[in-house]
Amino acid sequence: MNGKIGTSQAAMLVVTTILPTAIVVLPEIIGTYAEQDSPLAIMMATLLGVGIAALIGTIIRYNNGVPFLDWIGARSSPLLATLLGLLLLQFYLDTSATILREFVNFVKDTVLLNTPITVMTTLILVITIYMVRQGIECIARVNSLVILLFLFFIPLYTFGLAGEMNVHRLLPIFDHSLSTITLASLTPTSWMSEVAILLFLAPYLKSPQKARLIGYMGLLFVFLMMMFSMITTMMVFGPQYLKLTAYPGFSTVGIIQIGRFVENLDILFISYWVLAIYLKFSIFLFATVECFKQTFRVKSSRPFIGALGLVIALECLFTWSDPAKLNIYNKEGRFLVFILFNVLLPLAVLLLTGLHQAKNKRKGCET
Amino acid sequence: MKEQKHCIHKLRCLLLLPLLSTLLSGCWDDRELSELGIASGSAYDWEDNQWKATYQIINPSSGASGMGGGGGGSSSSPPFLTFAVKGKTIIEAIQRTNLTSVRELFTSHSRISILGESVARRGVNQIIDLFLRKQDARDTVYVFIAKGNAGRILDQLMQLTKNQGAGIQLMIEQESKLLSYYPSVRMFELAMALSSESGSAVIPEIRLTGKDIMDETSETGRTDLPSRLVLGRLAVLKGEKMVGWLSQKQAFGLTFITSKIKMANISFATHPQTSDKIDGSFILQKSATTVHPIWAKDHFIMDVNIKGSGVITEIGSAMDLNDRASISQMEKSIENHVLELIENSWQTVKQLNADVTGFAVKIHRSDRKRWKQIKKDKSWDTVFQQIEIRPHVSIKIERMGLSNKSFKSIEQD
Repeated sequence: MNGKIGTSQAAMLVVTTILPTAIVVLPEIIGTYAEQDSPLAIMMATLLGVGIAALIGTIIRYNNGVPFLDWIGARSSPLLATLLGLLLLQFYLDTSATILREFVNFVKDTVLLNTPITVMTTLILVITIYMVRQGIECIARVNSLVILLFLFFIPLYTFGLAGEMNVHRLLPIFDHSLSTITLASLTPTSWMSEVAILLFLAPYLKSPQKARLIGYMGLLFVFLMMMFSMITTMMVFGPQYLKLTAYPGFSTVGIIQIGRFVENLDILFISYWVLAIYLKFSIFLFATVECFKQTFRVKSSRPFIGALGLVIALECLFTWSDPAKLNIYNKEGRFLVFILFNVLLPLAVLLLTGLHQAKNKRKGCET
Repeated sequence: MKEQKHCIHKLRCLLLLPLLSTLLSGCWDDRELSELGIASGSAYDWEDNQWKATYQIINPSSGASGMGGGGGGSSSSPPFLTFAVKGKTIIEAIQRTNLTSVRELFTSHSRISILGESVARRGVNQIIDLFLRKQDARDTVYVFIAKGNAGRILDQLMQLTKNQGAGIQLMIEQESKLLSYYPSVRMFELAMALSSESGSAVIPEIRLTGKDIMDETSETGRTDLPSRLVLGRLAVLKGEKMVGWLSQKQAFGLTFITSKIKMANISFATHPQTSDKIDGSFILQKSATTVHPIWAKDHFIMDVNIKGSGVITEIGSAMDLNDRASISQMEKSIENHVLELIENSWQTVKQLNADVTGFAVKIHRSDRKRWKQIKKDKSWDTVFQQIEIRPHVSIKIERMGLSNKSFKSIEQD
């Protein structure tokens, strides 16, 4: 079931790993701090993201697509690999639960007001488990098709909003201090660091040596889309109004009116977003399962997908039931957690491996 | 063995079928079209310390044929019905419609929202919040202000259209496209204006021309209704509260300052040196305004540059349009007229002390440091009062229409 995926397919998976929730959650968070300087915050976050992609790409080049935890086990000790695996498993379970909660919250806020959250969570989970059981190659193929749909939505969005945009609303630039822009870029950086998911997709890459390129390509596309979304939203609403709406991107779509027959397009864009978020959740569930598989060295992960899904659903329902708690986590806690697991941990592994290699070389020279 | 496996697989599929019912999760939010009361407009008043919400619901069984649109249904039944309800909060009032209506109120297709002057004077924040927050409320509705009871406006039937909400929407769209006395204002634009640096906004007035309300379908069978809906003045809001009115003429001047002219008709004196008689019409087809704030030691000077062009459509005096001097004379006359409009408007805006000109935004964009100081000192009101405007108008008559001489000059020849 789990065939190999090509470089462009993997890059598109990176896009879907980051973009769907970023485009919904980030504009309000960035806009609150940086207002019309938000594009600068996105640029800063992307630069940091490129650094993280380089780090992850280097690790994958080193291990040449060998499962991450197996590689650590072989290089250091199986105990350390298991400990790291447990920590990473906790991280991926938490992240998947927050993605599921963001998904459910959005659908509840915008479309299904009366449908119980438990029913929505169960339904989304069942569909996603089915997707994960089909394997990463299948997810990658569907993902490529979904990304191609941008070709339909971007022109419709741009054309529909052309009359509402005012470029002067982006002024004045550099109105905020560097510290404010840095603060605004922290949360998007945590989203960009999700490129680290490549560590668990590496065994399925056709060319693991191109992992860096995959990361760069994915982040470049995410950067372009985030800039497009942020700039157009600000040109339509201005920086002050941006802070008032929970989902600025969808509010922008809501005002599109072409002639007297095309209006209220938000539901069309929400449908498309739902497609993308299903894929994002499935990629994370896949990574969670992969992490579980590598940590406990199980041959087939299929029997455990449902159980892991259940844990995620329970965490989604009970840990993140308060939307304010999730918002605070996204604004303040997410950066630390993501930097720890997506940057510092891989960096420590890389440094230790480097040291280990150097030691071995020295030993080799001495003998 | 293989058959047994096949049987087990089939049995599993059969057992899984009930699970498919979970796909019907949308059922919690299902709404039957026949059970919805689709609102085409809403009005809000503040009466006896309570919110009074009036909703205009489209009547699907109406076939009132005297008002345009398709036929069918009962011709005596009005095309829409109105429900007025009171509550301590707006939502309470909305929910109370269920006590009187057989259909659940559905506001996603609402076109207009009329605020009573009582609400506007009290503050519009709660209304804006409702439109931004409520799932099925559209922030694209056009906003109006009515002097007195806003709910009354929704009772008035219109000729040529059955859907009054959509009719009023067409009226304001047409006005801002062809007349440009003032721009149309949608709910999100109102929120944007009030949350901007200026903190002020404008809302057009809608009123009835007569005292009576034409709320019976039989009354619309006349060619000239004694009472019609008409767009009136422009209400000025500062913060969340209404502080005054601008006349149509003053509103027109403001539209020039804020560069929101799409197309406009300017009536002017063709021979201003000899007579003040207004006898010419000019259609302004293009107009753009640039505003540059200049700091002059202790106050701001706003350099307002207006450039426009258009076509002459009416001349009541003797004039040879092949003569460049005549054209320049007319251009000068139009420019002076626009300058007068701007000055008149600016004086009233200054009196109201509400920055509906958007000067605060311009100053923030061009002079960040000084704006930060103004914001820190909370001195915008004082700074605004000290602003001096220097308008420069340049109008070009591009075409003369289909005749090169006025009819009066041919008559004199």
